[in-house]
Amino acid sequence: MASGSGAAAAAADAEEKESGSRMITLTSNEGKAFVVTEASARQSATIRSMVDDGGCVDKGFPLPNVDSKTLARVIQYSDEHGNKEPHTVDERAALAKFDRDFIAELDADKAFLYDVTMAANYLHIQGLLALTTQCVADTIKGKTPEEIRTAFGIEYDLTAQDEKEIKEEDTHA
Amino acid sequence: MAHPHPRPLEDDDLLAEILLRLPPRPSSLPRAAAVCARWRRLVTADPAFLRRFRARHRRGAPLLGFFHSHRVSPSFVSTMDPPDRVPAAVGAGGRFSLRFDDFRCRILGCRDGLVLAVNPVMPRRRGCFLVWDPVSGDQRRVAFPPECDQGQTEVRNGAVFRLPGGGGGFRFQIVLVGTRHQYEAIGCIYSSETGKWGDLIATPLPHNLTRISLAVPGVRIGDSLYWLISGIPGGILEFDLNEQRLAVIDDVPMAVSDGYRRFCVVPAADGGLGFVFMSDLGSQFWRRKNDWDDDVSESGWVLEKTVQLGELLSLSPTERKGSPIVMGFSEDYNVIFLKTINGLFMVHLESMEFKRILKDCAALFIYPFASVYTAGMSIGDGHDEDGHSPAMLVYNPLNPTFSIAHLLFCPYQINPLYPFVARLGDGLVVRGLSLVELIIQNLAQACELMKQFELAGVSSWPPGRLDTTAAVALEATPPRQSKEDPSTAIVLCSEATTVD
Repeated sequence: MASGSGAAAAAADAEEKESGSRMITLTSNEGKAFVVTEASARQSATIRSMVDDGGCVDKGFPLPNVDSKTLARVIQYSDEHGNKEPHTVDERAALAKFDRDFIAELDADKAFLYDVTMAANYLHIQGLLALTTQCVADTIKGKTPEEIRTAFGIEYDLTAQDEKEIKEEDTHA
Repeated sequence: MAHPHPRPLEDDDLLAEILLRLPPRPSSLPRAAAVCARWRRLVTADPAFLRRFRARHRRGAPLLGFFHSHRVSPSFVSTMDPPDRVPAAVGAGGRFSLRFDDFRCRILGCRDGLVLAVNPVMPRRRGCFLVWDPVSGDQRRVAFPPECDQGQTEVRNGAVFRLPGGGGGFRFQIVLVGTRHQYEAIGCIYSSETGKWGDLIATPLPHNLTRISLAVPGVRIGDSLYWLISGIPGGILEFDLNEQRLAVIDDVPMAVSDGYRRFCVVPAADGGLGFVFMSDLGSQFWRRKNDWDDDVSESGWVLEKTVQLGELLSLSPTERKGSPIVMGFSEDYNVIFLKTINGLFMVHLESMEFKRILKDCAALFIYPFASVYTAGMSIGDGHDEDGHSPAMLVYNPLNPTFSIAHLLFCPYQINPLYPFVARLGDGLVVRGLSLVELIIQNLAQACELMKQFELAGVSSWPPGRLDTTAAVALEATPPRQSKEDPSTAIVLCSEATTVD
């Protein structure tokens, strides 16, 4: 193949990617289809690599691990972060406010927060994963081990040896 | 109460992502480690997690406390409140304790979670710096550059920086300052990346300003480091790290002296060079004039404000007479440590909030220390000079054998009674890089030592506390030389005091 035409194709490809004009279909495990811009879908590293590998863009991407409610919320995040790039201070502040409101809403519904966290992890959406895991970490912070177990319904399974070590180690617990 | 099923906490990768985002307070990880067995494994036995935790929080590392020199063993004092107080046992004989191998050793300062000490004179060897990470236990000696070996050159002070980088390894820079022939200030930068000193740079010193402070740590403001030069009036040595340029600021309107500690370089309100002077009239905050200052007076300095710190620290009028003594300064937190008749105080220079830390303080200087503390958790963070992983020699008394363990892969339990010996399964571990007594520095040295033990017929070795002088003697002998001289190892054994 002539290298010239290859480069031209790549350039056209890059242009198309940049414009985000392509639309991509994501399908939840309940079979519901969501059509999003490529820019929005590219927030997910998982989808990004499939698209870049020349994957089934036209056929869409089935997401067997994500239900419709969670996917809709994840797309809300990806649209906000993918479709517009903040340039000005005001735009960046608006995006930060979006993140704050977004996570505050999730924080009020822990079960949903956990679902979105799992989806962010599965789809490798770095920003969303940082936001949700930070929110869970904030729930843990400042609590004693007993309070942490209570908050998350974690079973106590430390051995006598562990307990001895903990006692020796410190006064933090 | 019903809990939504916390699925993210059940996924190992996600659990790590979540716990990484706990605040870097000393209580965070020990508390997580006491929740359940899975959490405990992650935060105590996963070196990769601990490295990431430290690397992630390095920028916002809390001010844990300070080091101060007490004869040859610098000790640590925690300034945080429970539950974040670093346990006293960690400071005394534990991980935050260090023993210098010479009484001439002294701390030069702390930065980025590293402690820099110097041993200016060593028998038959060049003087050297010691860089120590008290949390990971990593330490490295760096000999002075060869140019400083000549009699006319004197290393006076220095500063350390941690080099940013992935993995949170033990990578650092040392900035050295000194004098040559009494009329030149010299400076030089060492990087652990290249393992080499850069070019020596120099600038002339005015005849009345030749005594670059030996004791007061350098202060970083912007891209420059500043050290005091004693004199009446005194001076400040500026090392511009970007431009690699030294300059002497000789118009300081105050007397500056190592012994008479009323003077401290601090950032001015505009972010430029400033200093605070504890005068009898109050604490004066001065700022160096900018090019755009309107003030046309001769002086290069502007008095910005005077604060009655004595009053602030609730000293009675008679007690206020002696002005507070400057003990130390934390650049990261803009906190000055002051000693008055009532004890040792921390004062935040912007908010003027203060806190009394000690009723009485015998220390001469203190070195504020901020770092990400990860409690009794083993983190072999870096690699030693030869690029080997740190290793330990393990003696198993049940089946009298010596074996070698990599520090990175053996979580071990430290017995506070025998801080130099730790237990690993049925074996005993001579702790390596966690203490200044670099008993076994790397795999090659451990192999060498093991051979020597075998050669010398040392087949049993009582579980005991090592005499530190013996350990130091061993450390002082470079591993390559000890090949011809197996006696060192025997000294180690015979001088080891048995403690049952």
